[in-house]
Amino acid sequence: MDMEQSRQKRSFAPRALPHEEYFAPGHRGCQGCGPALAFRHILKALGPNTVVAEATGCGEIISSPYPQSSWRVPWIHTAFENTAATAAGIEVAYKVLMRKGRIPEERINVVAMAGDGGTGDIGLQALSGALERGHDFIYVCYDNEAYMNTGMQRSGLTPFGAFTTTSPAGKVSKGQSTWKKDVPAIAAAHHIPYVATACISYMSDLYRKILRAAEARGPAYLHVLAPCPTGWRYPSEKTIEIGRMAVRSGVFNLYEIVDGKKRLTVKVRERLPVSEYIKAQGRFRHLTDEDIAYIQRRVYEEYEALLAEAAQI
Amino acid sequence: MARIVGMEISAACSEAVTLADADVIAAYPITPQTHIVEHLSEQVADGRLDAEYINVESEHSAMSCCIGAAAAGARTFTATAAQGLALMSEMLYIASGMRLPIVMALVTRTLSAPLSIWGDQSDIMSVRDCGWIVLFAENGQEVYDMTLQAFRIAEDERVIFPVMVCLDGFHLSHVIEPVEILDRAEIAPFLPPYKPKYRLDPHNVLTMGAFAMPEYFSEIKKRQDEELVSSYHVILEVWREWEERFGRHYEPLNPYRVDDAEVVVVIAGTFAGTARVAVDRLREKGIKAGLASLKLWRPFPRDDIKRLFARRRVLTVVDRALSVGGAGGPVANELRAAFYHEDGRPWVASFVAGLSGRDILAEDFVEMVERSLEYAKKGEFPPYEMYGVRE
Amino acid sequence: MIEVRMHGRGGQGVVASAEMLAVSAIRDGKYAQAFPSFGPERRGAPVVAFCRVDDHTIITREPISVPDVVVVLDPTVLRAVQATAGLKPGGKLVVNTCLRPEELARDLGVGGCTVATVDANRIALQFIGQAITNTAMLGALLKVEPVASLEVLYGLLRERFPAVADMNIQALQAAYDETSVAEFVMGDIVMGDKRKKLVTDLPTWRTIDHACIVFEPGSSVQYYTGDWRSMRPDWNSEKCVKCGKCWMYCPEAAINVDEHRDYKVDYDYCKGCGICAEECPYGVIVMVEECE
Repeated sequence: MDMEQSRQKRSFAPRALPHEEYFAPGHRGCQGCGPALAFRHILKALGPNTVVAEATGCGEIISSPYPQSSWRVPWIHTAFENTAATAAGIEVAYKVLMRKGRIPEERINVVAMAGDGGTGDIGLQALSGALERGHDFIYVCYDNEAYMNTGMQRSGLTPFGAFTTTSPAGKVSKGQSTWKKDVPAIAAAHHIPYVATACISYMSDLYRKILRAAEARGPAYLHVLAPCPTGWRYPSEKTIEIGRMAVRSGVFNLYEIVDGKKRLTVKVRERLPVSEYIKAQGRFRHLTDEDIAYIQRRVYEEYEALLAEAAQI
Repeated sequence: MARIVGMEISAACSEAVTLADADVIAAYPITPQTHIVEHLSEQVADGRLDAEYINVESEHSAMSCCIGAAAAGARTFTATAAQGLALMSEMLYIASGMRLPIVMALVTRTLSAPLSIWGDQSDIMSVRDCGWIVLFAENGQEVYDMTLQAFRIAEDERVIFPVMVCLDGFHLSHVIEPVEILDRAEIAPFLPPYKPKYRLDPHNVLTMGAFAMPEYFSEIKKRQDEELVSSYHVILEVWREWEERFGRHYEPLNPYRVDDAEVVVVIAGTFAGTARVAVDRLREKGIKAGLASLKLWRPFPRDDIKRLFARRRVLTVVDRALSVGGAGGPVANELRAAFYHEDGRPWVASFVAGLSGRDILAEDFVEMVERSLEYAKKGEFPPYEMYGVRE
Repeated sequence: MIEVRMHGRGGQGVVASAEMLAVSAIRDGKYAQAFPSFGPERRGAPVVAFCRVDDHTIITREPISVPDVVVVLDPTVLRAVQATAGLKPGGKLVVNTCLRPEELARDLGVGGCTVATVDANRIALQFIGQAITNTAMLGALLKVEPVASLEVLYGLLRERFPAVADMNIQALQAAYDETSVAEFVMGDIVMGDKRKKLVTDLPTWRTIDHACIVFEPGSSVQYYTGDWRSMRPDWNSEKCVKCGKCWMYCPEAAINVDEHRDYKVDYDYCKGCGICAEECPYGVIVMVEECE
């Protein structure tokens, strides 16, 4: 089945997904790499008329050791903090070259991909500029919640309490001392046509959102939680389960904002205690029950606020 | 038909970009580059130039956009100065390493701190090793001509490197001069539409910007260096063709009264004009002076330098940049190095002058030459001298 | 000077082993160096680390290409790398395996060196509860090449890892005691080339690609990440309802579906992460030890 059939049927069961692989095996990702799985399916959903600009980071380094590449679509890496700008350059180039009749008129998905640091820390300025200018492109943040490429240093998107090598738990520290930066909200503040959060454990939700992002005329921002066994300290076979727990506990919520209207796309009937998610990962091993209770309270409040916001519309 | 127009030199630069039919312009405003990008914005707004003008949020993104656009196959232009160049310096190295034929006008200006918007060449000298072809313009006509030449050189399949055209901030960028403007029919055979050899194309899949392990890196850099060095021959070829078509002559070191000169002033940029005036005065005083205006900085024109300067007694090298804590002006030091193994090498007197827009008068050039000759008489040269500084 | 090269997989503490060895030697009053080898490979990929020990100051910064001792922390690495490459004639090969030295030497076809083996996986499982073999293999190494004293190393472990020091010390001591050593006078240090393509024809600057462009899409298929695997998914096709979840969740795209809609693992690329087994709703897939 190709993507067009899946799209028409709006069916994203595993057997209905495209068989073409645009992210080739042989990449150097860790065993159980969440981001690699995200790349694989994002490209399946978008198909071959896609060009990817990727930031320095795990995704770049595991996929492009010269003279090999895992990419079966045109792909470019230039630097760390500028992926949105690089993608913007590609987008306008296609636009003007088509207008001038130098290249054939066709729909090409221009995709920028960066990790959480490349998006929300060092890449935030370029991201904001590109969103504000309204380029017709899809920005994908694959969020593994720290600088995993350089060995697990904290980013602004590392969750509260998590141990990283630069937010270690020590005698006077509980690990990351700040709450996760809400980059999707920052993206939404640019009033772009489409913003969504997604997780590799909810594949049909992810597919639906990639397709909506591709259909949007103008910038689309997709924030994909992609668990990392190496940095989060859980066994490699648990990648999908950990993502599922992040959503079921309300730690990471799946929603979309279409033309400013927010909607929860995966509603959790019975919420999992946050402690189950936290205790499944070594990066939170040092937290006390009290710490976990604090996180639980805040997660609860945020989830209720999200429900209220989504219900108003 | 070509016609002579009195216009601001920044506008002449923009006119050249319009004539080149650039596809993508990404720029961030900074003094003294603003007139170039304002003029270009107008050209695009009026439909005179069918291009996409991206108002990026920083110079870093300006160069990143240019890289993306050039990789996608567009003829791409940007302009900046000083802090802007420093901010985009990371991307300058990448544009060269990825071999993307971007053209940039650099309106040279000093680097902070202290903040100073005025002109000198501190900015370009800070990125000497970034792997771009670097041209220096001396007047408005050269800015116009070199901007057009830059696209042709950059896109030549034997080259495929980014090219920077340096014009001195204010002293050149904000001056109104007569400039001979060409029309599309005249330029078309010289600069045909850009046909990229490699580009991001879903129908011909490439991976650009792969990372290299140590066993590949040196070979890749060696290839980059060899090909930048050999772009010299293409640059000369393009300049010869330019002369045939349009009658204006270019060479890496433009000489003036050098044939019998004992002492030669060497300078890059627009103050070479004033230096010519000084050379005439020196000749009147009986001093056999000459001038070499440095037009090609990268690739470094080593052979021209050796040919032109061998057996001269003294070179008076005037740098508009200071290598803080270093051993002399950047141009002076490279000239010294070029002659290190040569017999009969000239003395090199290094002067740092004209920082942050401070004027260099003809009489200053006269003074610097006379001082150089005195040093030569004594056989003793200071490593460099900051000319005109209050003691 | 004794030069040691250690082979293992990313995440197995190979670098930490070399470091602990060097620090112990330094505490013993010797001079030592430890250093890793950096690359893009991640958790599970074969990695190497190095250690040099001498009575005198070591000033060289050269890589260790002719080691006196090679230590292999993970038996499955032997499929992926030529562990004996450059081993000094008469040098020592120390391997974590359930095989006897004679069996290993025969399997690998090596001679002209000392071979020491120990079942460090079993020891680690017994004392530590997980197959983390780096401390056990330090015990095996010190048995054949006493570059540092056990006591100093134990002290270091207690200091660095107070919570888990005791179990690691027990594992180390057990491995030290159980390591079997045999010397093979005859033959050469060679090892059969196991599909590992030796890179001999690297491009020159004239032939290397313009701008580092990769012209072949998806060319990473030339790199067999199956070598990273220490556990393999085993399929019981009869129970399979062909739901495709294993295929969907594989980060390697290493599960293929054939015309009968049967799902099959491509062991050339499967890294053995175990997601397919974990996510299979019908228990079709189980993870088994690679070396069994």
